Amino acid sequence: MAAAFGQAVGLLFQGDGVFALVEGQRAGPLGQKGTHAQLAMLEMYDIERLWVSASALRARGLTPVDLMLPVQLLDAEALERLVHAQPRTLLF
Amino acid sequence: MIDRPYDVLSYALLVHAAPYSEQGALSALRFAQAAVAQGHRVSSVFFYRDGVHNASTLMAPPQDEVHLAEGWRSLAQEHGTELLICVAAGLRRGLMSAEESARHGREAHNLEPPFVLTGLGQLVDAMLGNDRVITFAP
Repeated sequence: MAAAFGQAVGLLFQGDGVFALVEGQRAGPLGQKGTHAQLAMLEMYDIERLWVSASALRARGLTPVDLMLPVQLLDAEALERLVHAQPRTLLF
Repeated sequence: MIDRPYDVLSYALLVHAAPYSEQGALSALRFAQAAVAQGHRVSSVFFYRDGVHNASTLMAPPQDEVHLAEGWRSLAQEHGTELLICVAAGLRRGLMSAEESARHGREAHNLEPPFVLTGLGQLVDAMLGNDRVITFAP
């Protein structure tokens, strides 16, 4: 929505949020809508900056090849710099 | 009193926390009350996810507890704060205005002004139109 308002948007995945990026997900069995279809559409909204917490990924036994989209891995220090550099941050 | 106007900030709040289950709901209200008490402006509060339950007209906590919906209503009436409820999050959880209730063929409604149903565009608008946006997650 923010991208539709002409804003430059980036997404940071932390904690269990990194599971949202895992390749090969299917919606259905749990009776919930999946988000993978929306994630696949991000590029259409010019949302190409996807950041992932390297430690969150590692803690869940995942590596970037398990993910459906190319991402930039950030260590704790880089995460801190990133958040400080953004004029607006929303948490979901 | 604030005597330096350039120190006055305008805030937008994003509330995800459910009332009484999660600290974020009361923390958001207390932050808003503290901010306006110090001369700042809380222009908009956007309620999303389980945060939409903070708006229920039918909320009836024990008398010796904080009444969250009443607290938000007072803030709106006294300080002009906009209370915005995500319509998609609200409808999913059975939070609806008289108008939406009629549209969906329901017999009751539990959302009234100053709370208003709105869309995510209003969140973006609130984010861009204020000096700070603060998220109150669970």
